[in-house]
Amino acid sequence: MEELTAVLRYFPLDPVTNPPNPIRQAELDKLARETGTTITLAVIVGKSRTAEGDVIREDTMNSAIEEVSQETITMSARDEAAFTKAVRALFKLYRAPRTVFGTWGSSPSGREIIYRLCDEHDGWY
Amino acid sequence: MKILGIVGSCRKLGNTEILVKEALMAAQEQGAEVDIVRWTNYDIFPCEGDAVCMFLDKDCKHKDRDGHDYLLNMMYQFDGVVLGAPCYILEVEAVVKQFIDRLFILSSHPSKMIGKPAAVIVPYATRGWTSYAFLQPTIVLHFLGMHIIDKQLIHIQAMSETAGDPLAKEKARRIGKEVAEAVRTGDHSYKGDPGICPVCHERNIRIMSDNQTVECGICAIRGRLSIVDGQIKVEFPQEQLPWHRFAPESLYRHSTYEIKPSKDYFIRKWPALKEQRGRYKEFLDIDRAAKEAK
Repeated sequence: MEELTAVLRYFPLDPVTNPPNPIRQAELDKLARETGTTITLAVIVGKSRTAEGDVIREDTMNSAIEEVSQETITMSARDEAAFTKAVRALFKLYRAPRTVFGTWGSSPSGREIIYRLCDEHDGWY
Repeated sequence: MKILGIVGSCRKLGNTEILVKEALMAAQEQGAEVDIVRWTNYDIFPCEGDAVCMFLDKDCKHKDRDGHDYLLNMMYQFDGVVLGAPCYILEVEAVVKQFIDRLFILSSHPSKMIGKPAAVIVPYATRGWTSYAFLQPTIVLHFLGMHIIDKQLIHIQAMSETAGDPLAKEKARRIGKEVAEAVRTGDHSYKGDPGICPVCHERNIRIMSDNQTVECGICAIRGRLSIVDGQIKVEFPQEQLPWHRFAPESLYRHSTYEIKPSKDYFIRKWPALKEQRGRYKEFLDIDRAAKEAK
């Protein structure tokens, strides 16, 4: 079976930042072990971002999606059941990314599963 | 000290107009300079959702064609607002929602009402038909960054009936006085029914699909519901409150991280979408009836 990949992009307005429910590498490692998936975390700080306390400023109008400040979880699995279980668990922890481009970079099959799981429970409704 | 009365009702000398004028009379007695405007006297065209005001940093395409920009700039000349609109079928008259939708322009032209006080008057006819009466007034004033200091439902039915109703007029007078005092003193504490949500003071709490969490649908703060001694309690963690949906930093981030990056998304998707949408152009003529009617 082809590898399924979920790219979940959490921007600085998601529950992971406000109020803080930070994404922790240790938590992701534990989930990866439990589900038999591979999970990595990338923290991206936009080139123009400035921060003073809770006040952040960034020009995102002409930025590529991948270059905007965000925390990106990439999860991969060859097994659909494992993939589904991991996505469900990630949604439970951090809810689904809020925007349509919040899953940009996911594999087509992975995105289809994410889409269906969002209908089931995305944490926002 | 300048206070504007906004009437979101078509009815000439109807209850909304009378109540807002009563509030303004009380504000005037407090030393305020007052004026009034009827939003329904102006066309407010629907927002077309193409977001050119944000993505191209342009004025709204309707700017000189309808009254929205004029009404918004009129508000900017005032220090406080009394907004009145009648409750029809559960909500206030549609002009308030029309005004809200066009506030997309604030993403490129920031509000000049931030931190100014406002209050809401909603006359209604039938008890039990007011579930969302404060929804649109709360959204419009919060979206503009205003501090809502009171909201009052006023039970009234006959045409102009408030003119002869001392209790209704007294409520309106209190609103006008409160707004004037808030402008003068800078004390914007909330004077109305405290409600359930500590931010907007509404009672429209949503039960989320996990059946464990509740949320204020307006402010998007989340809490837990419990029943203590037969009383429903909803507790919202204090750390949520500064991050309610309409807090200036929340609105900035919404625009910056949830809207603006979609420009890149659209650009990447457009070549494929342009072709894929073709079959929908061919299928049925959605404008046929309108063309034939001309």
